[in-house]
Amino acid sequence: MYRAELLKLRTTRTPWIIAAVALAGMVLTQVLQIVLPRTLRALESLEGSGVTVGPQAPPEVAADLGPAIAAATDLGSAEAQRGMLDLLGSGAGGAGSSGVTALCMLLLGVLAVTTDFRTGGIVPTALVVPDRMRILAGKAGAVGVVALLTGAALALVTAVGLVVAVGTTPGAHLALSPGEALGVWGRGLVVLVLFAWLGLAVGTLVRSQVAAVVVAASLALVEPLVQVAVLILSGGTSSGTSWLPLTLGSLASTGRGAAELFGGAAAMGPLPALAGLAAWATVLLAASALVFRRRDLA
Amino acid sequence: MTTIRVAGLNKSYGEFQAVHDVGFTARPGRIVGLLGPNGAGKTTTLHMLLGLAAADAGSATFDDRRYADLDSPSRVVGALLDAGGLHPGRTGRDHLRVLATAARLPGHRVDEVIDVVGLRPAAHRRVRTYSLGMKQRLGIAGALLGSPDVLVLDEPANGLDPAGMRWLRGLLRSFAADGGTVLLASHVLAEVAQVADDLVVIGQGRVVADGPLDELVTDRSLEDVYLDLTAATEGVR
Repeated sequence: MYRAELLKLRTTRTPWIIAAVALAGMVLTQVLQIVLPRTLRALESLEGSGVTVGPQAPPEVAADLGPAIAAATDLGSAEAQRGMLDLLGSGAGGAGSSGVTALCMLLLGVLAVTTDFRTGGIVPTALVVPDRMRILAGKAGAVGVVALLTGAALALVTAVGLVVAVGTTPGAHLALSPGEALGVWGRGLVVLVLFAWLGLAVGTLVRSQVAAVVVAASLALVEPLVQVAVLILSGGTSSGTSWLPLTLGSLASTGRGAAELFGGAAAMGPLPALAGLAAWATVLLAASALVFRRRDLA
Repeated sequence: MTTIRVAGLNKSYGEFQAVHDVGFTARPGRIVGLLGPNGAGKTTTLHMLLGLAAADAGSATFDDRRYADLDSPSRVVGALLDAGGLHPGRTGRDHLRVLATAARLPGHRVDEVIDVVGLRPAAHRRVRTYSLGMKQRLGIAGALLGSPDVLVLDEPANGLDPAGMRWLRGLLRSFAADGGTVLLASHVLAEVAQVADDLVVIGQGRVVADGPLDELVTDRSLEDVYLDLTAATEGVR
């Protein structure tokens, strides 16, 4: 069943477009991360000539944020280099942006199942394989493989980006060990698969393609807003929102979340975050399997 | 050779009873026409027979086994429902490759059924470029992939041109002559009259007539008999 589902994905354009958008988003993120520090330095050299650059926050806030922002934009720092290898493309320091990659993986999962509902393709599929659990398992396997392949291509882009960044930044050298780099990539690949499975679960539960896409996009757009709002309101002390899926993905991938940028401590390490995200995916997939098994398909 | 047995099937959607105590038998070597007005419950009956919808009560089996319990359903039953569930962006050949892969059928069956339904010149085109008749042929190709004993077809003549109708008639007759069982739901009474051996007429979710075609239709046309049988149940419920 897994091979048939993979063939389904290979023989339509949508997964290819999703992978291309994820790659384009990653290229853009890499370019911005390389260009941003130079642009800031160029602008700083204009200070005194009436041009104002850099954080315009009150001095005490700037003192809090300054080191984190500086580390995130110093391409010689391990922090920035870890951010560049982040497969989620969350931007400098993994600062809590949803990232194009996360949205792409959610949509990959959503579209893998809702396209079958939209076109009626679920009917011939269920006629050939009446066991609904096998169908869902096949889809999970297929979107997982596509997520991994996309992630491998993204890893290649991040590697090129890092080499370019280090090679073109005066005085910079590779600050990450191979083990650290492989760790970021490895966890990132797992996160991509889990995001794709979250999308698959949402698509199976919601069934309507448009509604499922709206739910997935809302999740990707709203969660960072909620996270930032809670952090601001709590003065950076609340870690409750760290248990939301996208934040868990960011923590699992690079070990960084928005809390650290606001001067707080990370709520958990990468591995507990990965376990938390896996728990989200497991619970939602189990719920979707229960609904899918009982639901009439026509 | 496989016999379809449907007994006491019931299905409700909330207060609406779509199918009430429907039962019939389709035997090997026979073509059974399943007739009824729009919303009569034909498609719901087929969906329950094929495990796509759960019955509230009753049974629907192929040689006493539910569809879901068949070891390799594609090798026993070939079905065409809802215009085949085709993705417009996939080629006709790829659609069949997906089904063959899922059913663990040998790859050469794809090209064989493409030839059977006469789609060779269009096999590598995307489905969105197909006419309705070509989509029907592709759906029928999918039903034939596993060389099944049984064909369950819902409105297979939709969109077929006269040559296509004649081709379909020949296909069904030949299939039944080889000992296959055919259950054919259709609105095209003239087509049913030309190929069916037996009729099951459904109205308002109930079987209102069941028997050999030549016994139900004696000195009148099938259309007259059908309209009489369904007069009390005509119209969308």
